[in-house]
Amino acid sequence: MRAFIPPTVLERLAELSQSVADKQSFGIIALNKQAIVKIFNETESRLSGLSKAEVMGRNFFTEVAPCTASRLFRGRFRQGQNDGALDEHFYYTFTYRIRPISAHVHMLYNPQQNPLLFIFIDRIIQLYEDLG
Amino acid sequence: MGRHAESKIITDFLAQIAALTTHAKDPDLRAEQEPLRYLCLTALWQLLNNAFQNDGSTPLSNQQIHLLQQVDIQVQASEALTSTALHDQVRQLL
Repeated sequence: MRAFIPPTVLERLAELSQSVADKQSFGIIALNKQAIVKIFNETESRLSGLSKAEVMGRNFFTEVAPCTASRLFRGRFRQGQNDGALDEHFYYTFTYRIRPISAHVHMLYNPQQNPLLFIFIDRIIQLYEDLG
Repeated sequence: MGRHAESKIITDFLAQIAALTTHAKDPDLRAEQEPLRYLCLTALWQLLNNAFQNDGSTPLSNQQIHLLQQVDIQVQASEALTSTALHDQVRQLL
């Protein structure tokens, strides 16, 4: 999978705040250990159609995006919490009550740099999609 | 089993579940069936989503997306007839 996160972001995870996240052109969501949303950037808000107010402080898997309460998505989150670190890439197709969209998901957890688990989302524009 | 046959089994199952609920003449029976239908459909959606997303090596196919959406239409219909307390309980369970 093609890496989409600039090294300046990856190498400075400790400094990845809401304001820094808002400047990025891909989706960024950060969760604490209880899966509560702590960062939800402007790009993710615009592309998902969810406002920050609807999302911040809520449980990501049960209240924000129930379609991610799956073995693959939530399973990786739990794996990261159990292992104390995570750096995983996978494709995920969001179908739940939205226009279906596939995305490259990069889940990153490095508690030595930042106590939050980051979910970076790069949506795939499908070539056969009718853009008219 | 081919994907077409797999889809037909699921759509037949959806029709059967709907019939067992909506065709019940006794209103008390219908009231008892609807929460069970909701639980069943929500679990089915999760079951299919887990299987289709698999290990995340490829995005879902159009057919898989269509099938998930078909199930979700039924989930939404059942959701409108059941309590938010049940929805919360099922979300926590699954």
